[in-house]
Amino acid sequence: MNRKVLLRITSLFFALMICFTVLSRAADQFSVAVVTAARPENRMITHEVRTSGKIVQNQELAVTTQPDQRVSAIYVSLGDRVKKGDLLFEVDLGLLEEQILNQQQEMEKQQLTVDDAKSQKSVSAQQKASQQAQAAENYALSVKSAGVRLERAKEALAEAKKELKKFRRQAGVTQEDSSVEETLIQTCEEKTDAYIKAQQELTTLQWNIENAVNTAMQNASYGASLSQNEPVYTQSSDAVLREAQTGVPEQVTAEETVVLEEPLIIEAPEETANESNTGTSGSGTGQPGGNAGAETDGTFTDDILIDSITEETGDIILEEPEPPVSAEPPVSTEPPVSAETPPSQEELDQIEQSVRSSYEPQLQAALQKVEDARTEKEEALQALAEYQQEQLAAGDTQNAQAEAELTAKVEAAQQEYEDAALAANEAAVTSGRAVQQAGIPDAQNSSDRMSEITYEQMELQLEKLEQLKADGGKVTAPADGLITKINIMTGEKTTDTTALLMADLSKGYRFTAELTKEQEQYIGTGDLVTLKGNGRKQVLEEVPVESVTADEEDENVYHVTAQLPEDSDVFELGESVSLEFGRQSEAYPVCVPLSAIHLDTQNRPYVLVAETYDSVMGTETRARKVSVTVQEQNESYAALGEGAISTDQEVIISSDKAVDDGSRIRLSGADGQ
Amino acid sequence: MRQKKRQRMAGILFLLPGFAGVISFTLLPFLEVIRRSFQSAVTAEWVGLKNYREVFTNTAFRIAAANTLRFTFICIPILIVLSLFLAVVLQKLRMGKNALKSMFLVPVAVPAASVVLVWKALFHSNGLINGLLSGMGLPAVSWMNSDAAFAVLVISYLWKNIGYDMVLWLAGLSGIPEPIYEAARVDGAGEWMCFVKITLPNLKPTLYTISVLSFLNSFKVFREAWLVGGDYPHQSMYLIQHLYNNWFRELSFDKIAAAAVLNSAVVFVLILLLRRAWDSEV
Amino acid sequence: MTAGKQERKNGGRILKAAVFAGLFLLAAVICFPVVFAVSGAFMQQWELEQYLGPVLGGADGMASWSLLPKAPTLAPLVELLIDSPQFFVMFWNSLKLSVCILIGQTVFGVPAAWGLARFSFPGKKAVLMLYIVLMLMPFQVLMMPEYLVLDRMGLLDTHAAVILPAVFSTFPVFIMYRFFCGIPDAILEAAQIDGAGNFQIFLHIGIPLGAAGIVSSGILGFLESWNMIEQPMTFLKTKSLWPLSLYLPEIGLEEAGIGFAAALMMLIPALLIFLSGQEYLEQGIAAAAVKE
Repeated sequence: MNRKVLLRITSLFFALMICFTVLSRAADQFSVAVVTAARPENRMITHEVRTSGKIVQNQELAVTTQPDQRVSAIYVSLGDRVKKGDLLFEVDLGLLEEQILNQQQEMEKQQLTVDDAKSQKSVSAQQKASQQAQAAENYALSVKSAGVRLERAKEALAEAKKELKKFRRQAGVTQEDSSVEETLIQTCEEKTDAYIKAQQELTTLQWNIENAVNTAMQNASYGASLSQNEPVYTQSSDAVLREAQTGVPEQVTAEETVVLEEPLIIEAPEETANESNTGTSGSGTGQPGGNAGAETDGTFTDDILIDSITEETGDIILEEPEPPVSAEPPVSTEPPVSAETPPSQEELDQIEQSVRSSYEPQLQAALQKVEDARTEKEEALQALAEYQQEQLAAGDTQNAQAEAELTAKVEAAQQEYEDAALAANEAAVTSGRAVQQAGIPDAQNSSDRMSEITYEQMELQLEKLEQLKADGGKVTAPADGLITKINIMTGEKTTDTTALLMADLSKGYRFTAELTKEQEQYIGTGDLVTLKGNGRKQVLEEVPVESVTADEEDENVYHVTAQLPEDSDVFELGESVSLEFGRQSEAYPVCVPLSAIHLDTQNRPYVLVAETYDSVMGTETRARKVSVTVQEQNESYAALGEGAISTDQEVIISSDKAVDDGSRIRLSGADGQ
Repeated sequence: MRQKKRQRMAGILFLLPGFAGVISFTLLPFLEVIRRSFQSAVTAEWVGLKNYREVFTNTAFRIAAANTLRFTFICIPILIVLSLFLAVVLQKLRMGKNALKSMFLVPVAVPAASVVLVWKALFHSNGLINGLLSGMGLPAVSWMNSDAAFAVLVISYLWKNIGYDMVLWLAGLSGIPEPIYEAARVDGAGEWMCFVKITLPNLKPTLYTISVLSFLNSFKVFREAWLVGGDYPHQSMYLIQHLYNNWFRELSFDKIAAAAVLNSAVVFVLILLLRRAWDSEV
Repeated sequence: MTAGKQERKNGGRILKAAVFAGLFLLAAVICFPVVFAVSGAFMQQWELEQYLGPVLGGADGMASWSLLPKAPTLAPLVELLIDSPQFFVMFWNSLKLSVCILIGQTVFGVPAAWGLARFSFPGKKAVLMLYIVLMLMPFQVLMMPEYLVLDRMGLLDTHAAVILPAVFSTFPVFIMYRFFCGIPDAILEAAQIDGAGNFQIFLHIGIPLGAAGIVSSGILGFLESWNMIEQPMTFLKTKSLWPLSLYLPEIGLEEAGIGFAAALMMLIPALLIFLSGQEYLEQGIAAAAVKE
């Protein structure tokens, strides 16, 4: 009994085990991935480039007509083939004639406008000339009066000097002394002369430089913006102005030279007298100091005078180039005939700079010369002063009082003379400026020319309209072609855009298509591609690629074009055609389908190979992960670096479930056991 | 006479299929092994007693043989005495006799492989037995890595065979006629006297069988030893079977052959001795 | 005197109780590994790790055990039975080997035992002696001869390599021989007189009367082959041919959950067979002990 129960339990146990066996097998089969595997092949990696594009014309012709014409009839429609000279469309003749009439009337009006402008211009030119003459007159006048005043001051000075001389002669000066002093004074005068000359040269040079700069700048401005006759005019007026300008300072400096020579010459005898008269050393030490001071003062005054003049003229020079520049804006308001724009301030600066730098060496030389002359002059003065001091020490004090008075008188006269010279100079400068201002050209006025141009344009327009009329309002095809676009409509007015677009059939066709960036790597100019018509069996082989270019907007898009042979009539214009090209690599020994390549978390490629293991389940197949290097790949195959896997290993290509390293798998086709 | 001859033939016929198998699967190959024990392993050259000399001088063999003999001569007496004691005590019981017998017999049925995990858990140096020992304040024993490994062998062996031997003893005890005891008791013999004077002498034939079977089973302790200790256990439990296995893996057929011949000779002699002892007693 | 007897009787009773308790304790200790393995099969991995942590090396202290799982679960069993088809491969391998060996031993061993037990012929004693000696040879001694012959027959790495040598094992013959010897001669003689042939007597008298011995040897043979480790380990290289007994030792304590479950699955058939045939088994064991 008990045993029976136990036996029943035993058999139940084994029955259960059978059930579980079946169950677990089923569960296992369910979870095992069924995979397909293949051995790596020795093959070439062919990069297939496939894209579809269109056949387009090589050249497009635009057919245009006059704007604002009413289209009365269009004889072609989109896609029509036309021969050269075929009638394309017609415009309404009535409206055309009306327009021609209108145009003629408009032209007449324009002609009148041109005449008006011309007369206006001549009037203003006369006004200008009279103004300039006025200014020149004023200038001459003021310079003259200043000269007169200067002359008077000069006479007063000479008088004072004469008195001093006389006094000194009375006081009695030894001949030897005076002869030595005379020589010294002579040297001094020569040096001063040389100095003044150098100074004069420098000033002239500075004038020249500024002049050159001015000219260059004007050339730049005017050359850019004015019609031919205008600059000529400006140039000439400029030259006039320049003459006037250069004349004024020269005059001034010349007179100045005279003026300046005098006081020195006068001063020197005065000092000589001073020395001979005052022989005592006690108070003499004080006087020579004061004398020396006066003397040096005088020299300083010279310097200052020259300086101030130079500065003033310099000011004029600096101001001078500006008027033409500031006068430019009105010039540029004129309708520009040439398309050139006036030079910018920067460009002007640049020009100025270059001119100045070209004069730089001369300027430097002149400055050096002035400096040298001045040093020499001072040395001479120094020598004279020393001599006079010695004389003074020997002189008596009696005459000192009288000489001091005389000397003061001479000084005052000199002061006056200097004032007069300054005034004369100022007068010259002021009136010179007036002359210059008068020489500034008036605002540009070229409305006459503009009107003329408008007239000419109208004339041209009229000619075209008349031509159209002569054609009977008919527009014909300029060449053989295919109508690709029609912008006009019957009954509507034409615009100034293209009326019709035509493909020029005589220039042949070409194929054009888009490529992806990836495809672009494998196709290049000169590659012989195959073109296939979609659907139909037209094939054109070995068509060379003409160009592969990147798209301007999208960097991932490239455009490929291929010129079709001229005699080819395989494809129609506008036909959709596909391009096929295969670039073959060298043969790789280990190639697997692309689907066999997986990427791990670090983006390194690996493949899974099927390997059989001996296990309690029988020889079971498991996937093993093998890291590989991909040498080259196309859309279906990848070439692997050698060494990772051998050609007799089964590489898993596809599976119905996710397969990992070590997953049990079943090769499809095999029965799994 | 003819009848007898026919009977003889019938006996041989009954025996033959099984015996043919024994001959072909054991006896003939064993003769081959004997032949090979005098040949070199690879070239099959006759080398005389070289293999035997090699085996005898082999340290591993010496250790293994010594262990095996030591084990045999220690375990079998312990097992026999212990199981006899259990059998005698159990026989006296009236209650729970069968239940206890079943419990003692369970290890016979338990496959060694199914308790290997238990064994590992028990005899690990941090295992249950050491846990128990340390719980009692005794020092822990490194069971697998010291001479105590031998104790593991002994314990495994006793555990596995005590029920088996006990049942054998019980069978022997039940074979002793009750009237003898009754007569002795009438004569005033005590329990101990009865045991010494009646039970023991009557169990002598059983002792032979039990010895033989215990000896047989002593070789099977290798399973436990191998399962717990692996191919190269601690030296104190390295048995001759380990050695054979390792030599076999190394394909040292010459050594195995010589050792097998030696081994079977020893077994044969032991059997003969036991039988002689048994025969002389009866 | 009565009192003394009574006293002695009382003392005897106490002694008996003590002995009984002692025996029971010993039996419990002997059964402990089995209970250990069974309870382990119903534990979750975390519980196993908690107990066996020190053994696994992950924790300090000593391993402990509870015979009653804190959180009994069937998870390891389900995992083993549903998710591990490889377990069944080995399970059925084990069963196939055991059943084939059992059938072979019966087919070849029973007649041989009968022949040895009931007939006398020259060399019988020698054969018997040979059988006993072979029975006592450890497998490792016979390993090489068996290997040689299996190699020559080309049977290595097949189940037959394990089955055939086991079929011709002499131990079952020895057990059954003892049983057949125990059949009283009178019965056989009576049959002979009735004119029954030797084969008929074997079939109709020998087998039924020796059934206990056959069953007992069968049970011992089953347990032995179910438990077999050395033979498959030596002769089977292909893992898919392995029996369960080779797989279990490969499971470490790290996978104790599934290990215990697998052990339980291996234990159950053995225990069921053992319990069903315990009666015969004892008879068989006893038969060996009884003198001819």
